[in-house]
This record gives sequence, structure tokens and C-alpha cells, in this order.
Amino acid sequence: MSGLDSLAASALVGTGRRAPDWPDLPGEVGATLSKIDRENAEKAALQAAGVIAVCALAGLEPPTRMTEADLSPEDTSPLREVPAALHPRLHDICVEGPARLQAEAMGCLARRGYRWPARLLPMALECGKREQALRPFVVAAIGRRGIWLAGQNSSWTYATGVAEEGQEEETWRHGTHEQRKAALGAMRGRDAAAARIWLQDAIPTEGARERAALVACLTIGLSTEDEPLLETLLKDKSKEVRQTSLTLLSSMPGSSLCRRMAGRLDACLTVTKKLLRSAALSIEPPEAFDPAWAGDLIEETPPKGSKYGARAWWLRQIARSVPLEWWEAKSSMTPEKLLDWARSTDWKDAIVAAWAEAVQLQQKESWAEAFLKASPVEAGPLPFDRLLSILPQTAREEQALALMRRSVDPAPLSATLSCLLQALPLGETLSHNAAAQILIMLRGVLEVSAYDLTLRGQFVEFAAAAPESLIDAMSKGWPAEGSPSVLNTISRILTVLDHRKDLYRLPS
Amino acid sequence: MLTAEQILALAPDDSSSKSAKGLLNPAKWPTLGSAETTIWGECQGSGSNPYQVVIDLGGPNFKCTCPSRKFPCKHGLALYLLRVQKEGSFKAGDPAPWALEWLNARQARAEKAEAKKARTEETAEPEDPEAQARRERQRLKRILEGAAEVERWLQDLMRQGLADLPSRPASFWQAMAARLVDAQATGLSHWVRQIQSAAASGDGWPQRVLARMGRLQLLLDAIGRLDELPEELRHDVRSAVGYPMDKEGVLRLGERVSETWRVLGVSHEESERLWERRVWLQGATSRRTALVLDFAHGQRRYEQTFVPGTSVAATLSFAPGFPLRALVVDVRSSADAMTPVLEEESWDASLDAAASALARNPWLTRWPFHGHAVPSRRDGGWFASESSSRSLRLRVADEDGWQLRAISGGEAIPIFGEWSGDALRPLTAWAARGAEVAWTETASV
Repeated sequence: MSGLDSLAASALVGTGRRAPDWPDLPGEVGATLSKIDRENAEKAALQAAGVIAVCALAGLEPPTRMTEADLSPEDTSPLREVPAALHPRLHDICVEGPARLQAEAMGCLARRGYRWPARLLPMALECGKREQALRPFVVAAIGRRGIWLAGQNSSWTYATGVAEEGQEEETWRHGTHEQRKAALGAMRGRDAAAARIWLQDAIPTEGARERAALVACLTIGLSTEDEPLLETLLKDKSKEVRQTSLTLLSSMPGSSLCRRMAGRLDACLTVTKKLLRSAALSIEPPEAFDPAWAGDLIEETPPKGSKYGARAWWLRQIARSVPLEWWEAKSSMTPEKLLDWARSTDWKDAIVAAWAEAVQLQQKESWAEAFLKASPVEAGPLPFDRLLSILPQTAREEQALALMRRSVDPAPLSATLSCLLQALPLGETLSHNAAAQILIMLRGVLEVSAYDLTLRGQFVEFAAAAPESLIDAMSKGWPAEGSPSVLNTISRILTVLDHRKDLYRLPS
Repeated sequence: MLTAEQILALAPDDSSSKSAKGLLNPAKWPTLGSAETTIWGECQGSGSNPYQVVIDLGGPNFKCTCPSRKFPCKHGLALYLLRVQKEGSFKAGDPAPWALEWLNARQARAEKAEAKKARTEETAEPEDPEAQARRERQRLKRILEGAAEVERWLQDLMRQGLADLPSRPASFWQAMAARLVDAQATGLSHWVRQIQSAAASGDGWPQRVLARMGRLQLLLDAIGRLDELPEELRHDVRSAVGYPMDKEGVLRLGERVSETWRVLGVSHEESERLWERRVWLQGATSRRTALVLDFAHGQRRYEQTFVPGTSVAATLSFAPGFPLRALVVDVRSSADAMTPVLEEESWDASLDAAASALARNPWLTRWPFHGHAVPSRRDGGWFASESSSRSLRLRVADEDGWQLRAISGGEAIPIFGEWSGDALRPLTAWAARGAEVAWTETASV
């Protein structure tokens, strides 16, 4: 609108102060402008602006911006299109959740060879942005077009992080911190030794926080071959890195760190063999701090405000890195017996807390079970979900059902169910037997759910976690009347089940 | 039959479609039945009597006995969705007595209206011409007073300078806009609002403000000599001022075109609880474009539903002049899936059409645009490019932009939208020429 520029300049300061610069335009536009009566300067300027504006609009040629074509790569294997009737269901699943149902939908489509509908790609990517555990399912479902799309939005880079095998090294060299972490993790899964060498080379140049995050990647495929590196990292400048290494070493019962700790503990533990009776165990923590312990990150003074005295604090730190098998071998006692014994000593807080940490580090199923049997719901030193997640699924369901039966009040029921569901990886379902029993319990507390928001959420989560074989039974037998919130819960359960039924109906 | 997505697009708001999805359990429906073009069902609500729902699929037209004022209500939407998703749950047969009652009543109403229309058309005796002329003169006088006032206002602004316009309070614009509404010149008031938004449009605002002030001035000049203008232009000026020919006039005098109309796109806009719906239609044989405007207060509730990607056999009456505006005289059948014939890939046809439209009516503020384009995001905004050269700014919500991008895969896809000269508001998109509708606008900007 070239003529408008000069007019606008005088209009800005006001024609009262500066007479309008009459635009001098060639051709038809100029000819039209010349017909304007300029007696009233303001009116004439407005008319000229109007003529130019309309002509500019009518003759508008959109600006040319050469951009490189950026085409989405085609999927290599031919994929089937999802029937249009299912699109609103997928839309609903992405918007309403729960994440488990999203994982199921994404997994189901990917396994059966369907293309995730293009229009719903942004939604699927948003789901993965919100829920980290869902990301592998998102990446498996969205195909090449989804990965192409994710590359254009910085909040979806998780889906492009390591898109294809062989890309890790490139990403490791040039990627952002998050991408490098993902690349290192992926490489660890394929070639643990090669990944360790990458990490070793990177340590001198990385910042403290980045170093700690990268060292934590060694969790994947951790083995005694990583020990020499981890031992040197116990002397790292950063406390975060030192702690991460200590944790990793403590989780390997065969590590020399664990042996050193066991040696220290051995000096405190006395086993008295009594004739015809089981051994008697007694413990006496060290009297003085040995400066050599500092090399294994044992702290001399307890943290401010802690309930521990200095000796208990040392005991706790030593015991947490001692293999749990060592206790069993030393005492010839079962985990249950050992827990009973620990509670009878003067040092029970330190010992039980150390064991709770060790159970988690070493992922010892028998100990997790012992803890679950021993502690009532409210007083575990470890959150129940962690303990349950250590157990293999069958044992986990058994323990959770036992806990639920013990509780009368629905609050612990929903807490336990929540733990059970949290420990269940996305993409997996509960066993038919356990789910059927839980369903009976849930139906029993349906009325209570009217006042309990958490419980209501559990119902829906459960509907997504129940096995396919239970879906028909679960779809029936709900009351037709009740308070609005109960009816709403039922309708959400049925919606989730309907979604799942339709997904299973897709031919593979 | 519509697809589930098209049905959900009929929902008056998000909560309706959400509630409808909660009713998709056949167990909640003690009765579900279907006949050739009708489906009906009884839905158990919170009360003791179930709600009775009937849908005439030809419209689609909905009827429900629930007290909701939303239209279609959640029960109607759910019934239609069930039909699509669980056809097996419907029992084929003659409509239930209550459904039949509604269908017959509706039929009778339609016949009565038809008869009445025929009667008035036959015996149409225009009301007292003198009284009508007097009313016309009075209204025109008020409009001319409003025009004179806004003309002085414009000239004062020019004399004093535009520099402080962006910092003016809302009340400054409100005062002038309200005076013009009082003068029954809502179109002029709309132009004042246009200037206001141009003043707040960032870099380069003085040119945009001046351009709109200038077009308003041309409109004022035209009102001043309305009697001298050719008839067609006179209608356009009256429309632009906010004094268009009334419905009855358009139905009586407008040019009637009967044919199959393809629904290209539908846009909704709300201002102070008044909803405006713009339906863009394209004649299947005449290729003529029509704009059907509807207004609804409070709720998005309209008598006739239009679904992009379907077609309606209807008679339209085009308002005189060139605003593309048309009224629906009658709809004979509707909701057949039918893909529109889109213009060739080059944008030139759309650009040329826009240029000749403006040449005939320089006060048009939006006109239809269709062409193949690559949607992409650059510098934080969305653009549509014609095979990576000419490009237009897209007026689109971010989530919609990403959906378009995903559908395109980086290739040019057919897009239909409203073009306002500085941005294209996409309304409908297809994954490929001849394919079904892949996208309609979901979020307004």
C-alpha cells in the first residue's frame, strides 16, 4: 500500500499540523485519485486512503516466501486406516484418559497394523508430553508422520529423541541434554560397554547436574563391569554424582563396596549358637567413627533434626549398603524372623530404615513380601506402592488383595488399589482372578464413592486395568439409579469399557 | 447418515458432546428403533419417565422431551451416535406411536406453513405503501444523522492526528459505536470496531487504521448519494450500513436458485452472547457461492443444520446486490455425503474472484477462498503456502494449526476458508482432492 505510507505519516501527526502528502500513483488508481475534490483536506485524504485501500485489497498478491519443502516420510510398511467411526473414540480417549487406556489404544493400533489418524496425532503427542510413561506407546503408534510432526514442536521432541537405531551416536554428539540422556539410555540397552565409554569420555566436560543425570543412566544394564568407573566417581567433585554412584554400587550385592560395608557390619553383629535352639543375634553399632569410612560416603554427623544419634546414624548408613542375603546367611533366619528380631533391639529404627532402603535398591522380593506382611497399612517405612512394585505380579496381587481384605474402611482400599494400579506397568492388565475379586469389593463401596473423589478415580482406572476377559461381566450389574455422582462414575466406567470393546473388535 | 465426527460437530457446546458420549450405553436406552429416515429411542434420565427422542435423519431434525434448552440436546446427539456406532441395537420397524405423533405434527406444521406461504404469495398485498415509505424515510434520516456524526469524528481524528489511537480507552470507541447503533446503523458501528482493532494490531497499525477509515469514508460518501446509485450498488450500500433488505423482501424479490448445494464450511462467531453462524454453500452445477447467515441469542441453536462435506437440495433466495447473502427458502433433502468440487490448485481463481467481488462491492469484509495449500508454522504464527511460494497468514488456533499440519504431511491440501484480505481463517480441509472432509475448525481464535 505504497500510497498509504505517505498519507499515514501526515495522518499520524494530524493534518492540522502537516498537510497530507498527496500520493502520486500511476495508472487507474492515480486517475481515480485525481478525481477527488481536495477542498476539504481531511475528507480528501480519507477518500484517497479508501480508494488506495480497496484497490490494494483487490489487487493483493500474497507475498512470496520461498521455503524448502518439508515432506513427511511415508511409512515403509503399508498400514491400515482406522475406521472413521472409531475416530471420536480415540479423540475421547486422548482427552479423557486415563493414561492406561491411552496406552492400550496406542498399543492396540500399533500391534494390529493401523495408522494413527493424522488429525489426532497432535493429541497423541500431547498425551505423551503430560505422561512420561506413555511415551514409548506414543512413539510406537504415531508412525513416521507423527515423528516428522514431533520434530516441529519443541514440546514433542521426546518422540524424536532417538527415533531410529543407529541415530544415538549422532544425537549423543549434537543433541540437547534431554536428547543425549535418551540416546545414552538407548545405547545402554543395546551395548552397555560402549555406552559406558561414551559416559567416561564425557565426564570431564559435563556440568555437575548433567553429570549426575548421565551417570544415573547406568541403571540400565548395570553390572560389575561398571564398578571401576563408579568407584572413581565416589570421589567426584559433585555430591549428587557421588550419591548416585553410591546408590548404584549399593544395588549390586556383588560389588566391593557392598563387601566393605558387610565387613564393617560384621564387626557389630554377634551370633551366639545355642545348643538345640536357633541362633541368638545381637547388635552393637561402632563406638567411634573410622575416618576411612568417609571414602565410602559415610557421614560422621547425623543430619540436623534427625531422630538418630551418631552411632545409629552410622549403623543405618552401613546397613543400607549391605546385601540382604548377607543377613539371612549370617543369622540363618528368614526375612520375617529378622524383622521381628530387629524390632526387639534398641536400634530398630536404624535397622528397619536401612533394610527398607536396601529392599528398594536390591529389589528383593522375599524382603518386600516380609515388609508387606509385617507392617500395617499406615506405618510402613517404605511406601506400599514401592514395595508392591518390587514383587512379581502374582505375588503383588496376592499381597494387595490381602491388604484390601484387611481394611474395612474404603480409604485404605482405594489407597491399596491405587498402589496396585501404579505398580502395574502401562500396557499390562491385572489377572482375571484378582480383578474379579477387586470388582466385587468395588461394587460394595459404590455408594461410598459419592463422597470420595479419589475412590471415584480408582473405579475408572480399574476399568482400564481389568483384563479383557472381565469386560463383559464388568459391563453389567450396575444400578440404574443413584446419586448423580455415582451415576456419573458408572457412566465413566462403562465408557472406558465400551472404548476397549471397540478397540478389540478391530481386525488385526 | 453422518459420521460420528460430523454428528459431534452439531453439538451446541463442548459440554453437550461430552454428556452425549456418557449416554452411549444401550443399557440406558430401553427402546431403540429405526425406520427408513427416522430413528427414535427412550433414554432413562434422572426422572421416572424416560425421555423420548426422535430424529428425522433427513434434516437432521431433533426432538426430545427433556427440559434442556440446548439444541440438539445430549440425548439427540447420543441417539444419533448410537445409530452410527451400535446399529445392531436398533430394532427396525414402524415408528413408536409417540415418535409417529411428532413426525405427523411436524409434517402438518410444514404443510400449514407451506399453505400459508402460498396464500400470502398469492394474495400478497404489500402493506400501505405510504406508511412504508414514511417509515423508510424516518429510518434513513436517522442513519444519515449517524453518518454525519461519524464523518465529523473521522475528520477530527485526521486533523488532530492518529498517534494516540492505540492508547485510547475502550470507552472512546464504545461511545461512537453505541451512538451508531442507536442511529440504527449497525454496519457503521461495525466499521468503527474494525478501526479499533486495527489500532491495536501492532507494527504497521497506522496504515491499517487509515485504510479502514478510508473505506468507511467511501461508505459515508455513498450513503450521501444513495438515490443516485445504480440499484444493485444501492442494496450493497444499505447492507454495509446495517440496513439490509428484510427477510420478507429477500424472499419476495431475491433471485431464486434451486439446486444441490455443497456445504463448504461453517463458521461461528460470538459477540455479547449473540451468535452468528455463516454457512458457505457452493452450487453443484451453477458453481455459485452463497453465504447463509443465521443468528441465535445465547445458545448456538439454529433451525437448519449444515454439515461440511454433505450437500443439501434446496432453493435459495439471493439478496439483491452482491453480498453473496442468501436465504434458505426450503430444503428438500439433505445430509448426503458429497465432496465438493474444489477449484484447481492455483490460488489465482480465488484471488481473481475476490478482486471482482471487491470491485462490485468495496465494503465486503470477508469472502470465500479455496485452494490447495501447505499449512506450516513460522515465527510463532501459522501460514498457508501455495507449493512453497505465495503465502497467506492463517487465522487459526494453535491446536487446529497442528491438526492441519499433521493432515497435510507437508503437502498441499485442499483448504476452504474465509479470507479477510490480511488473513485466511480456515474452516474446512480435505486430505486430498475428492477425499472426505478431514478437518473442520474446532477452536475459535
